[in-house]
Amino acid sequence: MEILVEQAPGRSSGRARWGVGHPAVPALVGIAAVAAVMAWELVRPTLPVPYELAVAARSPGTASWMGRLPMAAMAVLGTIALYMFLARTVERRAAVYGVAILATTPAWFVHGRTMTGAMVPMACSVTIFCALGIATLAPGITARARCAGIGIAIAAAALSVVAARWGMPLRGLVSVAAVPAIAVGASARMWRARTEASAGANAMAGAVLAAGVVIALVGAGAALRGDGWIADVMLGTRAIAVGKTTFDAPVAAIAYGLLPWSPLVPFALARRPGSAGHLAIMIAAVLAIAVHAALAPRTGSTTIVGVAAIAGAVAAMLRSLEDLRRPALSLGAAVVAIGWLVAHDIALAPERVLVAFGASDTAIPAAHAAASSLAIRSSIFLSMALTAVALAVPRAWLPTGRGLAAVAGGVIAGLALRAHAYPDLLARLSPGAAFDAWARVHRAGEPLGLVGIDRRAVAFAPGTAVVPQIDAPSAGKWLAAADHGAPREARRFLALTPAELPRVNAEYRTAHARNVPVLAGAGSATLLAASALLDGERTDNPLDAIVLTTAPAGLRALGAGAVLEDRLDAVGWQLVDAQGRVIDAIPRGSRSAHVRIVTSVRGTPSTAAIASGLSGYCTFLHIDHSPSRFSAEHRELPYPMALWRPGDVLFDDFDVKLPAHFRPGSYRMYWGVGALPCEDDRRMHVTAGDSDGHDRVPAGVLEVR
Amino acid sequence: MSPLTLVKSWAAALTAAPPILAPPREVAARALVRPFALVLATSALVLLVLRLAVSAVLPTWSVALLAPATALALVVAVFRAGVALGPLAVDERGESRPLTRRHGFWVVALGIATALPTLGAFSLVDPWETHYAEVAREMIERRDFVSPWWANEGWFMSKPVLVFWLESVSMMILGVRSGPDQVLAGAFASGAAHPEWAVRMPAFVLAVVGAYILYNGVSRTCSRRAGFAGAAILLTMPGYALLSHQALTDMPLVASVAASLGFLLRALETSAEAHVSRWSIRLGGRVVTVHAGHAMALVLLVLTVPQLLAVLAGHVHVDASGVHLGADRLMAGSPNACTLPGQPVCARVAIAHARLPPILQVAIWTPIVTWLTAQLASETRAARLFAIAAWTAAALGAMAKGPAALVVPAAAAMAAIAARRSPRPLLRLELLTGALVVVVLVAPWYLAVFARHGRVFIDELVMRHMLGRTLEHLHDTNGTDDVGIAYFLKQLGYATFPWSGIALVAALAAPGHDDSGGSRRARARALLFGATLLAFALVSSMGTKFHHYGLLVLPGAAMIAGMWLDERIAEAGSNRGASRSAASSAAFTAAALVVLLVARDVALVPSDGHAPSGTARFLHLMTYRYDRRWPSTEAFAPALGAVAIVAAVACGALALRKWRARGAVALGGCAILGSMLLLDGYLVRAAADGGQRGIFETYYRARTTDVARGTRASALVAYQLNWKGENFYSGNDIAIFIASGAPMRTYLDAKKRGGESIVYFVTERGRVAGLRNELGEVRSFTELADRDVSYEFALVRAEL
Repeated sequence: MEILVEQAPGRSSGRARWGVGHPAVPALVGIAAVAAVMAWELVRPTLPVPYELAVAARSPGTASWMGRLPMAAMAVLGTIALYMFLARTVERRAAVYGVAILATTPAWFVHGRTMTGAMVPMACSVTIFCALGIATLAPGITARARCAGIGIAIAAAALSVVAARWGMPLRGLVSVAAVPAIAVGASARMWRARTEASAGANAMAGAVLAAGVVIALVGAGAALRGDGWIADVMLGTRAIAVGKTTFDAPVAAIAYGLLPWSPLVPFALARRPGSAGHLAIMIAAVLAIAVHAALAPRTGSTTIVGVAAIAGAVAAMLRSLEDLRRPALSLGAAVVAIGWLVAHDIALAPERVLVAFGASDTAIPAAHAAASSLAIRSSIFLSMALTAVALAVPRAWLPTGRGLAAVAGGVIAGLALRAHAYPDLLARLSPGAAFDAWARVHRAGEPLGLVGIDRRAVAFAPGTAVVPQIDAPSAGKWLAAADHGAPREARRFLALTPAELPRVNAEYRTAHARNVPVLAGAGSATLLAASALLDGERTDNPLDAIVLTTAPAGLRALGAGAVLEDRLDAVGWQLVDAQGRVIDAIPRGSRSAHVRIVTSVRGTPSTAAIASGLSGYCTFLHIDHSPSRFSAEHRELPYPMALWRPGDVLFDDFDVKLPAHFRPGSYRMYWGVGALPCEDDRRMHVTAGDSDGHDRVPAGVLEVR
Repeated sequence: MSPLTLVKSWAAALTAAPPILAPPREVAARALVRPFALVLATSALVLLVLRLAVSAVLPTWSVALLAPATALALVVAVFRAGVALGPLAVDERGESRPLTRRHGFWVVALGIATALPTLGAFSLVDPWETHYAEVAREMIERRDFVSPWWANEGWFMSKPVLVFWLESVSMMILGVRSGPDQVLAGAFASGAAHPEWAVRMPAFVLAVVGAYILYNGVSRTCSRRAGFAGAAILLTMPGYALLSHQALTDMPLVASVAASLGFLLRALETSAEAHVSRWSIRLGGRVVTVHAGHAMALVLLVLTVPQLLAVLAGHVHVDASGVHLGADRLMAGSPNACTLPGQPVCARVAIAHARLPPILQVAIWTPIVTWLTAQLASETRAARLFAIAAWTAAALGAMAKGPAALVVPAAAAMAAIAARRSPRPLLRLELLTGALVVVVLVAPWYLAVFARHGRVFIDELVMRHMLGRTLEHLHDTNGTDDVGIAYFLKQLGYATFPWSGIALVAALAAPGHDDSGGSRRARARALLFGATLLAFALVSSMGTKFHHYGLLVLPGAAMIAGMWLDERIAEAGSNRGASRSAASSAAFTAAALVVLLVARDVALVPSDGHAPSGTARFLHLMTYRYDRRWPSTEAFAPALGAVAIVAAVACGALALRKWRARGAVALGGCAILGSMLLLDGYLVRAAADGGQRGIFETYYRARTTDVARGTRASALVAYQLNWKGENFYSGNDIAIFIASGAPMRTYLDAKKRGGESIVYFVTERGRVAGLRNELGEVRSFTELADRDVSYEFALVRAEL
């Protein structure tokens, strides 16, 4: 532990007295603050999010916070290690920046507050880097301290491997150990090629570099030989399903996982270093990204192991900007441009925020993520603006320096992410709302079915009568088959994902001619459905706005009684704004509105023959304009056509955003049903009522004004 | 500088006394005769070789030697003429250097040597090359250079006009036969013509000129080595090199932006008081004084007068009875295909704004052009002439693709001015005159088409295809690919191979020089970084994304890489600090890793039989459908892998100070070889996979055999095909059945009744089975071209 108390270069070698002015006080205050924040975070959400299930299921009945506590401890240790490295090899202010940046980086703090296990390799990696880095690069290090550094590094490397026994992900020694070792060894060699260094330091650098290269070579050999335990230990566990991965795999992980710092990352990696420690952390960050790209075809979508090194590189860069005399306009412009692009991407596809978890394949409806992404985008804009101002204004306006101003902007935005945006996202990912409702309303013996939900999600309540369902149709039948109506009869409950809801609902509608009651979870990744409602309960089924039993009043005419192949009746349509209010015309300013087509399936619920054969179709909306019309297709509907049943009345909601060449005026609109893939003129025939001769049902005139 | 000071500066500039110019250098006309005769002779030689190449008189291998040789001879002749006249007699330091010691010569020579040998030796790649070539061909056939026509699809409304004008003029100069059934008719029956030389020539010329002007700008503001390195990097990047071999709208855009950036560098770094040199040529008893202002005025006239003549040609009508003058007439239809199935009927279309006839339009533009010409001819301030040249180049880009060509240079200029922390250079940018130049270059065609077609044309071209593609997701073929911020980074990784690592590292390091004290180099870097950043942000934020949109980033990125490499080589020769040296070593090592990672995607990802292999990524930079396989590219995987390994080793050598210069040469050599491999091997072989040239060569050979056997005239049908190669290579002498069914049956029955029982069908390979079913019982049904001839397209000979 001698390393812990040695002084930074250039500082007084005498021990300061304990008191407010003692150098360790800010660190202790910081650690206490971090611990307090983590304690608040550990108990939220109450139930594990999907990414935590692998670990949670190993200790059923244990409170989530107990599983999360080791991860939080690892995160704190990793943060302390980064602080120590930067303080000893770069500068103490850079170290404080590094801690601030790391603590507000989503890819770090979400794993520090959840038991995904990804924190283990990340923290081990930064520990190895810092231990070897201090032992090799810091001035005035004794042989004993070097041995301690090596020992800590070996212990951390071993921990990253054996942690797999407790359900933690194995990311491989190449990422965890070789990258830090090569970064430290290479930077020492490169830097000292131009400066003088002690023989001990040189020997240490050579040994560390050699060790890193050996691990990397063994890893390369394991990669060439194929799968096996050596490959797992060296390169990490092979992901079950990996999509197309190319060399740019780390870009998304950095852009969306390292907010609000991601716009600064590219430039931090190419900054001219001011010290060997700065060079080492830059190399560690670059190698971590390169290894992530190289291993992406094997490991799939994951968090970059070297997140802490990247944060450290950003911190060192911001420290180097501190005394910049002239405004850094190019850098400011680049930060604004990249930040804007990242925010733009998240606005278009909110599920990108899940990259911070190291996975993007977990089903979370984009609409749910959108609420969080709004806060995330706001944080990006805030950070971007403050950083750009810090870089662009005259130096005299910033008494504390450009770096501190930029860090302050980022930290404010990062705290908003940590305290609001990501907790909100975690709450939506957690099945807490659904299971809390179930715990509240169910009576002893009433079974809980699961469909689309990992059975491990109910590990918090051992002994529950869980009835896993094979698929959504059988789950719907199981739910619909419950005795219901009488207050004393047992109800059945079903926890399900929003993706399963339509098929469950279709089965339930077949039996009861109404939508399945949803008691809780609307807006989250887990819903709770019940076989019946009791007095005082109300349903919150999102499909209530899409599937109805009777058509609403006040619709505009659609094709004067048009019938499509004796299966579908065109009932009418309405134009509504983004808030769902009925409007007369599309506003000329936004040129956007929703056209909601109402159609009904022919027959009655009692008809024996179900309207089969409605799969293989799409619906389309054409708004004519010469020479090119507006065309929108629904190849996949939120309530799929294959589930439509006789008597169902359905809203087909088209989000219409007219292109700029649709000037104010009147445009003829048509609706119809096409054959998949909906790329030609094969359509369901209009067999009665109005048609334009090409099997399109005329909907009259759409006004833009 | 306060606004008041700026206004005072402007006022002072406007009221300044005429400058006292240095006396012109006198040149005897007799001394110019021989050099200029040599220029004419070598120009004629180049033209002759290219015409012989187009008409297939010369075999491909001989053109590959003769075309670059004659082009280089022309460059030498131009240099000698420049020396004789004066502008090239001495360099910027006043030293006389031979051509072979001029970096600019080697830039041009590199462009010619790598990009010219096989420029026209292979098929146009469907669909974009053939789209534009067909529109250009129709311009010639329809004798209408204002309203672009697109075979069976009517008016072409998705791109501005420049590329069609360039291609059609090139086709006319190089002797392409544009009529029905004539496009592939060579001089001899044995060989099919190569119209591709003419179609692609504008892209090639613009690529070399754009790279040279950008080189010139960087060499004068930084160093010749930096400029040369940047230009060499640009010319050997696959994105730029392949684009020089593709008749798309994008090379005119990218090259124009490159040229504009080069001119802006000169404009911003040339002293406001510097005046251009003048030369007095004694012609008998008279003395004519010329200077760069005259040249600029001439350029303006060359770019505007033909436009106005093309507009005015609306009043000239040619028919069997001769030439007549009259009101503008707008005719729809392809004149030689009016009666063919699937082709629009030839008919007169009402002019939308008849009260705005061509003569009135020309009357509007002529005074402005005249005034501008006079202004330019009297302008001798060098910086201002460079600025006007920059806006002229940007305007050409806007004529080719759209406003991005104006936005990128403007943003770059603003970045450079911001780096100076003074708005004073704005005075030198000639913003008002530049805006007027842009208007007279870009607006005449827009006004002409508006007068003819009305609002619908503007709505379609400007509102839908320019604004619409930028703001909304109009149409692309990206499927499930991530179209976020990584999209163009990925494509640029392939587009810059094997410079990917150096380009990335240099671009990221560029903003780190903000505190360098505002040197010329720093300002140049700011300008180029501004262009690169804005181009990247612009294309990345677009709603509609195709891979080739990202190539707009290349000129700025290549020059930043060249400057960075130049600095690193200079640093290796000096004894600078540990930080700089270690950072450079680390950067080159990182560059090597990037190259290897990019190479893995390219060389080590095999095709699974359906999805394309990694080697197709270079073609995907240029083409439409990213799910097409391009199997001929797969054979190049080992060679591309070898290029990557050599490049990575060279980057490793660059990391060592004593090996740095040699490493740079090795990397450059590797890039040149890689570029030649792509242009002269990869593209030549792969173009057949997605082009229709081979199909039509086979068709014409088969038809000749039919004629020899005495078979009656046979019909050619495009079956469920709409890629436009079928229109171009047949001269649009083709019946089109996109929906087939009953109309095709009726047509074939009529042919059969008329005794034309042999019908050739061109279609996509995947539709041959459907064609066979649709034809039912026929006497014979033979596929004439196998997958080696064309992977995507098929030719069927059916005897009804």
